[in-house]
Amino acid sequence: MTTEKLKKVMSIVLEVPETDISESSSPETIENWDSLRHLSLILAIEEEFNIIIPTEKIAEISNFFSLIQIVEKLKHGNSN
Amino acid sequence: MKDINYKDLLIEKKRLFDLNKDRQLYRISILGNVTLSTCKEVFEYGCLKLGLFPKVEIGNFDNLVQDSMNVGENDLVIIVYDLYSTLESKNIFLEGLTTEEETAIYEDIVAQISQSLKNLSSVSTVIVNRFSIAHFTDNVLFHQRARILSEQLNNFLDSFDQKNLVSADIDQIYIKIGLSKCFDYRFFYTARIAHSFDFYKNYFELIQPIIYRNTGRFKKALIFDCDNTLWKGIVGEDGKDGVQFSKTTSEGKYYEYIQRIAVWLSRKGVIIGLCSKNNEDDVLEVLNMPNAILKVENITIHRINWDNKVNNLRSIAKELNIGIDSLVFVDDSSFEIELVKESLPEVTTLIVPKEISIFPKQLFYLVTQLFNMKPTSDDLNKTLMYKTQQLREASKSSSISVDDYLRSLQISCIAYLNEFDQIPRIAQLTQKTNQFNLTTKRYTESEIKYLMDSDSYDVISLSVSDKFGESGLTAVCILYYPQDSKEVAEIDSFLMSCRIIGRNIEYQFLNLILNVIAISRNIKEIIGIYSPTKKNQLSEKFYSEAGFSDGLLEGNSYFHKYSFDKPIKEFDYINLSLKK
Repeated sequence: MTTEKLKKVMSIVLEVPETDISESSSPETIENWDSLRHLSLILAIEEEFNIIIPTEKIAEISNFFSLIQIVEKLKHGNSN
Repeated sequence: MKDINYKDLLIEKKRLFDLNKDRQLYRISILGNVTLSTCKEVFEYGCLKLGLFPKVEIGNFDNLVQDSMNVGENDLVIIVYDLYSTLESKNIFLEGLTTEEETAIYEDIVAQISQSLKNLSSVSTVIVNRFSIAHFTDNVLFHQRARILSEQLNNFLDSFDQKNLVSADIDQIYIKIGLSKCFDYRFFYTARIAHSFDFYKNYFELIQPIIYRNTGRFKKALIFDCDNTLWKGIVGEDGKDGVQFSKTTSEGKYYEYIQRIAVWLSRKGVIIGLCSKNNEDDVLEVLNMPNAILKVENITIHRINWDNKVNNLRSIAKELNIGIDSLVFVDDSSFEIELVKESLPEVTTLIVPKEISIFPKQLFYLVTQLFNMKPTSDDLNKTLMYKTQQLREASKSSSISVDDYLRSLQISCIAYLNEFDQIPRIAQLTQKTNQFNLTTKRYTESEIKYLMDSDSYDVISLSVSDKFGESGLTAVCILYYPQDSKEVAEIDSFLMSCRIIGRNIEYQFLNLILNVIAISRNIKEIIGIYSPTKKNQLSEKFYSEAGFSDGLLEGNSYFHKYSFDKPIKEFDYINLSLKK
């Protein structure tokens, strides 16, 4: 669920097809994933999942897999 | 704009970019001493929504003067200068600086902005954000020096003599949505992004009137519904003396302000019009009252009839010879507003808010955003001009699918048979309803109770809701079964509140009366009666349109027959059931 939703957001923000996104996708493999789009991505994800990603976690996002994990953790932390 | 989230904005932006390919090109550059990339999408989206084809460029980080040399061809240039970022490189508290050093900071900023403005003298508008210390001074007592510096810089902006310069007071946005929504310190410290996505959505709204003015696309006509929009009450029900629009009345005070805005605009060259489902004479009577604020002479155009408002707005635009996108429409009914939004998305709409006290402010905000507030002498005569130029062209009814819209409403009705709990509201409806009321018989509560108890009568009431909410108990039918002729029934009363007119609910209600209630009594023939009054022309053709015979005049009433030989007009999108 989270993975699919994240893929969708990512595909919209980075303007790449969802099929091009895998767990190992990272700023190195997706050309549009530059530092500014990275911030746009965070903004879109935060709104989508109603979470806030703390600065230290932002730094931990190195690829799509780590993003899923961070979002999952924050989602559970938020839901009562 | 304010309600859209970032992801949806990106999707919508992409769609509009394809749609607006051939629209007017509008070039914006945003320059400054901070990272500005986040505002690009908001500006693009905002311009697309205005029907423009935007080209938005963001200057390089802290490269104001050089960038300003390359954007002289643009329509709009925005300069964002964040004071914190400058002070931080010296000393954020300005402590330990000599007066000379402090003056040097001021002069350096002034020099950068002056030089940039000179480079931008050929651009039609340059917006410079006013200097603010709000986001780094929670308590200004401890930042007196920063405050003074910021005030001096704003004074410099105010005295800078260049016609295309406008200064934007961003503190207004801080006040409006709160600092915590304007800044995201995570990105401020890591990427030097001064303002948040929310801030820029509000910022775009702040500067939107400038874009309107630059591109000649400000609105030209403000069209009002009447009942519960220009005054409190329903003139067809309450009469001209029953509606309220003056500050001396408890509920009218808000509407006085609304009428004053309309009058003020009409003097500024904005066309004021009416589009209302009403009897024309009733409305004109109100406008002709001696204490009326908005008077007939302020109204350039009106469509007061029972046709749908989409056709009426089209015909207004056509007669005034302005684009449909030049109209702003205000109504208290979410039904009408949604119908207009879906069929005429170019029209800007405002729904009268449920919390009426914010209505004047909302309207005032909207008009200052959308209408040109600097009229020329030519504009001043426009009310007159449009009036004399009006071509009395017969409005051709157009082919929008009102049915599709009604279908989307998910109208759902529940009918009640002889329900004692509803006696007060039923009696009230028979007392108050004038327009859609076939016989206009008035009943008291005890009379209704008597009818419910009687074997010769059935009282059926109808409660209506749709996806926007409940309209409540809004229709009543009273059936009479004469003792002498067992298989015949008469529709003694059939009435419906004007709140739900125009949705074909009456036909579906009639269907239930005939095919559920009457049939259960083994009725073979039904007589529908229409008794004309001054106010009920609206319901004149109801029975013949539904499928009854043409009316036979007897005394003061027309008698229409129905013998179950053909189906009654039916609308499958209205879900209507009898409460058991």
